[in-house]
This record gives sequence, structure tokens and C-alpha cells, in this order.
Amino acid sequence: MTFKPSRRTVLIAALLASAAAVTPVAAQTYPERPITMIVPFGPGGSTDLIARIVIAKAEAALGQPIVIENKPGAGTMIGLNELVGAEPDGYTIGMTTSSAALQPIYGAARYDYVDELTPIAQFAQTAPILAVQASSDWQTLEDLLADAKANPGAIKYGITGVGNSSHLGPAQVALEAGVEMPHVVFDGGATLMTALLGGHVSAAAGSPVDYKEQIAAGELRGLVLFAEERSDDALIGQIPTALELGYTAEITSWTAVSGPKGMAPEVVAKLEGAFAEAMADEEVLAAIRELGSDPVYLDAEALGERMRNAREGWTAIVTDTGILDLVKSQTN
Amino acid sequence: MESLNLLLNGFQLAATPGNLAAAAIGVLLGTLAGMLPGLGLSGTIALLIPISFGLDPLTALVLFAGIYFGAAYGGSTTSILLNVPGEGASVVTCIEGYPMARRGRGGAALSVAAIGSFVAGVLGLVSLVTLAGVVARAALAFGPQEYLCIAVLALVLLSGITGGSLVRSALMATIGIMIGTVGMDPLTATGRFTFQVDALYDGISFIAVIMGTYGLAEVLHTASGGTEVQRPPRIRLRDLYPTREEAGRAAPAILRGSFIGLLVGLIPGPSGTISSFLSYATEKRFSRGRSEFGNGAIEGVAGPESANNGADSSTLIPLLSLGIPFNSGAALLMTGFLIHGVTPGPNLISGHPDLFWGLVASMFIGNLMLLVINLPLVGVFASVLMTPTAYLMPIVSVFVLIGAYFIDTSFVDVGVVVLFGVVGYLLRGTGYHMAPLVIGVFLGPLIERSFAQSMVLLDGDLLKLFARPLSGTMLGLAIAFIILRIAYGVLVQRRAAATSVAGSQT
Repeated sequence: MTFKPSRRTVLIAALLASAAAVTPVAAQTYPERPITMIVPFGPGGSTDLIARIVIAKAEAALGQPIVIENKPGAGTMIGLNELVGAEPDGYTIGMTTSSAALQPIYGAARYDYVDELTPIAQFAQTAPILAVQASSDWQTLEDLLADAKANPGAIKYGITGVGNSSHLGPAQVALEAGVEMPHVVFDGGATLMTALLGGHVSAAAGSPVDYKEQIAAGELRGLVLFAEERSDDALIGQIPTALELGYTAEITSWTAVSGPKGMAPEVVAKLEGAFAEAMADEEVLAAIRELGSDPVYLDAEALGERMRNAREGWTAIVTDTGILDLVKSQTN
Repeated sequence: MESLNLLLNGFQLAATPGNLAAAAIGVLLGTLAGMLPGLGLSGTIALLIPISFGLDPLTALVLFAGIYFGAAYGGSTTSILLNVPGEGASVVTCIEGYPMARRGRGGAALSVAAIGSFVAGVLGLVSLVTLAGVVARAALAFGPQEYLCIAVLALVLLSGITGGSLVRSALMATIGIMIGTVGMDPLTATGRFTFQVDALYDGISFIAVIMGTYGLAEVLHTASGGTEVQRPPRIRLRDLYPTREEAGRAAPAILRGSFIGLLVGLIPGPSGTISSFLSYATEKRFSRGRSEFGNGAIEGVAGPESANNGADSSTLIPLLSLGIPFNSGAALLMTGFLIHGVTPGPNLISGHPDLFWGLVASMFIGNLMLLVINLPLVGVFASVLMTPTAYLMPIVSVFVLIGAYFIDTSFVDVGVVVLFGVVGYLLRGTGYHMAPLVIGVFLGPLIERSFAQSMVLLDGDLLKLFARPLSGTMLGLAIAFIILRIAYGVLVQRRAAATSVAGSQT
């Protein structure tokens, strides 16, 4: 008897065969469709802008568009939470900054982002500057600290949020110098700048993006930069680093892209390659510098290491300076 | 005068076809953005930033500035016609503008809003050109202690805004303040009343609250068979523009409102909202038509709309001369600047004089364009009201709910709009007005934050507030106002008691 399969059998066999042919051999053909990038900030902010600048070039290298989805709120946690929960297939990635390392330390974050994310590449980094009014008598950091020692509690500095990058630097310096400097919380860089220019607070630590113009105009004086090395910029390069002055306060924030944990290494490598290409483009570098950030490219491994070191270093700072206690005292 | 020459030079730069086109497009887009509740300035500018990359810096800035002013005006259209406020500053326009529209005077309200916005915008630009340096310095003299006193003064001044029982207003204001505490604590950034919902960490969105309270509540009210909208069978030409009497009443209101807006715009924060509320309170107390308030008094549209635009104009002063954006609208404008390599600040005028004066000139042109484009369109807008309610209300609700989602791409805001819509609808006619609640929602966090900051800066000694000239004056005014109101109330009661005693003796 000849084997004569029924029509139905043939159809089913054909279906199964085609399904087998379409089994994901995803890594080789990645990316096959547009990639979503979650930006945990509102549109128009510096992180959002840097992301848009870089992906404009990276899209060409990948052959697929990268679509930005802004998910601001809860100090980047809304966007980060969504990123952590996404499929690690390489079609959802997201921007991260130093808050990814800081938020979990205070216990309010749902995940430990440094562990739950796959680092991919860093686009830029910015370290805060501690600035005072140019009309004040303090020419150096030591002058400020001497004044603070002589008059405990009289010198107050402004911050843009408890426990964020504007808070850690001055707090650590105050701790190491053994002076008492109370902090005043403002709801954003703009109101803090107004208070600083108006002399309502004596000092404030903020991003060079905000302070550069005022320093150039002679309104503010930068006393210390919380970075590893001096800046390349002509003006900011004149400000000494905290390490130079003998304080262990490195608070560099990164603007980087990561993905959910568990991404295939080939997919990560492909993304890395595309971003590296974009970051080699002079136009991209110039645009980032224009925004006031330092366009330093780091690959996945280096980024991962930076994030882990930052988490360790900053955990030490917030514990020693008592910031962690301050925040915890409200929640327990 | 040096400045005048530079300004004329700026007009030459601004009057090129490319820049005029950019101004016109900007103004139109801005008006549209302002009309669509929730979408607003941020979404529009953010969408246009990548497109503007290829443009000449001045042209791009002209585009953004056009959007900025257009959005300031656009919010009034939906407020007057549909009772849907597009932004915080449009809330008070709903209170008087919408009843005017129901009476068939919608066109007049729209015209007055456009004219008032124009006047305030021009006055703001004039002060930018002539007084920028001085004014910017003055703005810096206000610190957290001053903001605390301003907020307290505003709370006191706005307390009687809806008339009626003071106790009920106070209750609603307190509930508003309580709602305002939801979110991040200003001192330690810990979440309050967030119930582990991420979206509540930043607080309950003020825009969502007002969209629900005014927009959705009105839809529900109309749907439940509320007062029939009186629609004239045909919109006559004189319905579109203010009568002589209305114009006569609106003119002083516009001037007062502009003045208030220009001053309040120099304070960081939601100056558009605060100035429009303060203007409303002023008009309610001092204008000729104050007895009509609640039923559509033209001063209640003219004053607040001018105040809103005045605040938006004068916010440009610290933005352009100091490089500090005082609210989110200014911050977006600043981003637009930064993208094109122009950093606003003390060096702007000296470093890029052409750019600065060209921009200022195009802002004058933009304001004029707004007026010229929108006045004839008043008829078109007003005819929206001719749409049968059965079709209009569902469209409005879809409009409002989509706008709510777009505030922060979150469904939590949609929920807030629905909740406040229902609450606003249920509280109608009960004597509990929503206006004090709305005021509490935005003034509460302001007061708490300023109080916390002041306590640290004053080393815990609040009496030192009186030692600072500005704070002391404002606090003194607030206290004086409270004493006056109590005294007035006691006097009225005594007189009433005396009359009834006299009456019972006859």
C-alpha cells in the first residue's frame, strides 16, 4: 500500500515545517524590527537630548530605527522599573544615570538596578561643581570650610534633592573636614540657582551644564569639582578636583544605555558596536559638549564596572555622612 | 536710544520671509498645543526640537518663542467654550468665560482674551527691553523666605475667592492641601500616601485635577440634564466682539491684570497660575462689574488672561538675562536655546546681540500675529458651540481623557481626571466650591517647601522673617488683611444684631 497522506496531514506537516524554519536564530539577524529606548526623563531634558543625538547616528549602523519612549517620574524609577521588567531580547533598552545606583541604596527602589540591568554603553559623564557667589570672600574650598568651622551651622548649601548627586559631594567634604554645614532642599536646579545667585544660600553643588555660563559671566566661582580628573574644558578645567584637595568624593554621573538582565552577549555586542560608531562621530561629540556634558564612551564591561564601583563608593558616603539615616528615619 | 536702534535692527532680522514663516507656524502650533489639554508646551517643543536642527539658530528660536506665546493664549479657547482648562492658568478663565459663552457672549470673551494677551505680552516685552538688568536683579532678591510669605499672602487673599461661606472654603482648601501632600516629602524625598504606586511618587498632577474638576465635571453635569445651553439660532457679528460697555470694563482689567502678571512672573514657580488667580481675586473685589461675578463677568476673563500672558512674558526676563528658567515652559524654551548653541544668561546680550534683538523683535511680531490670526477666527471657534450637545459632549470627554493620558503618558492621571470629574459634579450646587480645593492643591506644596527651606535658613527662628524687608512687608499685609476681615465680619454682625433689635422694638 502506498503511503498517501491525507490533505490534512500534508497541511499540518507544511505548517510544522515552516514553523521550524522560523525558529528564532535571533542573534544573527538582530535587529529585525525597531528597538524601543526608554528614557526615564521628560522630553527635552539633557538625558533625553543626548540619547536623541547618539541614536540618530546609531540607527544607521543597526539598520533599524530606535524609538524613544519618555517615561519620567519617581526620580527615574518609573522608567527603570519598566526596563527591568522588559523582555531581554534586545528590543527594549533604556537610558540610565547615577540615580540607578543611588535609588536602591535608600531602600525605596523595587530593584537593585545595577544588578538587574545589562550595561551596554556610556555616552557621557558629568561631575558636579561646588560653587559660591563670586562676590563672596571665599576664594578656595579651604576658605569656605574654615568659615564653616568657625561658625558652625552658619554656612548653608543648597541641594536639588536629598541623597542625589548634588548632596553627596558637599556632605562628604563636610564630614571629612569635620565641619557642620546644613543643607537646604530645593525642588530643582533653577530655583537653586536663583537662591545661589541671590545669596540666599552660601554654596551649591550642581552640574557644569547649569553653572558654566554663570562662572563665565563672573557671577559664580567654582571651588571644587567632584571628579577623578580635571575637566578638559578651558573654564571648568581651572577648578581643582576633590581628590587633589584631599577629599574622597567622586560623584560623577553617567548618561548610559542599558538593557534588562539576561540579554544575549551577541546582541549586546551588536548594540555596543553601533553606539561606539556613533560616539566616534565628531558631530555627536560636539553636540554633547554643547550641552555641557563630557562625551566619554565606555563599553559594556567598563560601564558595568563603573556602576558597581559607584554603588560601593556612594553607599559608603551616604552611610558615613548620615544621609542614609536621615532618609531611613522617615520610612521606618 | 541705544536699545531702540538695536531693536529696530532686530526687526530687520526678524522680518525676513523665513523668520516670519517660522513665527506664524510657531504661533499656530502653540495655539493648538495650548488648546489640547494635557499636551501643552512640553510635548510640542520636544517634538519640534529634532526638526529644528537644520534651521538657522534665529529661525529655530523664533519658532520656539512663537510656540511659547501661542500656548499661553491657546488655553483660553477651550476654557471659554468648553470649560476645559488646558493649563493651570486657564482655570479662572473657565469660571467667568464659560458662563459668558453659555449666554452667547463667547465670541466677546475670546476677543477680550486675545486682546488682553496681546497687551500684556507687549508690555512684558517692553519691560524686557528697557528694564531687564534691573528687574532681573530684583528677582534675585526673593529667596525662600520671601516665597513663603508670598504663598501665605496669596492663600489669605484667595481665601474669599468664591464668596459664600468662609468655613466651607477653608474646608475645601484644607482638603486641597492634603491632596497636595501626596508624593515626595520635600525634606527627605520619601514617599507620602503613594501606596507603592510609582506614578504617585511625584504627586497628584495638578493639571489632571483641574481637567477633571472643570472639564469632565461640566460634561457630566450637561449629560445629566443640567442647565440647557442657550444657543442663539445664528451667531451675529456683534456677538463675536465685545460691546462698547464690555470693552470699557475690560480695558482697566487688562491693565491691572498685566501689571499683576508682570510682577508675579518674576517669581519662580507656577507664576501663570498664581497670577491669574490673583488677578481674578483683584477683579472680583475692585472691578465695576463685580456683582456679575459667577455669571460671566468680562473682567474675570480680561484680567486673568492678561495676567497669564504678562507672567509668561516677564518670566522671559530672568530666562534671557540670567539664564534661569522659572517654570517648565521657560525651561523648555531654554532647552531649545541650548540645542542651537545659544546659552541664555548674562552673556547673551553682549555675546549674541543680533540673536537677542532679533528674537525680541520676533516676539513682538509673534504677539501681533496671534492677535491678527485669532481675532477673525473667533467666529469659527465660537461656532463650536453650535454643535449639538449630544455630539459635543462625547467629543469633549474623549479630548479630556486623551489629554490626561498625555500629561505624563500614565493612566494614573486619567484616573485622577475621572475621580475629580465625579467629585466636581457631585459637589455642584452644594455650596462647596472646587476653586479653594484647586488653590490648596497648588499652594500647599509651595508653602510646605518654602517653610522647610526657611526654617533651615533662619536657624529655626521664624520671627526673623520680619527682619527681612520683603518678607516682613508681605507677612504684615497678610496679617492686616486677616484682621480687617475679622473686624469687618464682626461689624456686619453687630449692625445686623442692632437692626434686628431695632426691628423687634417697633
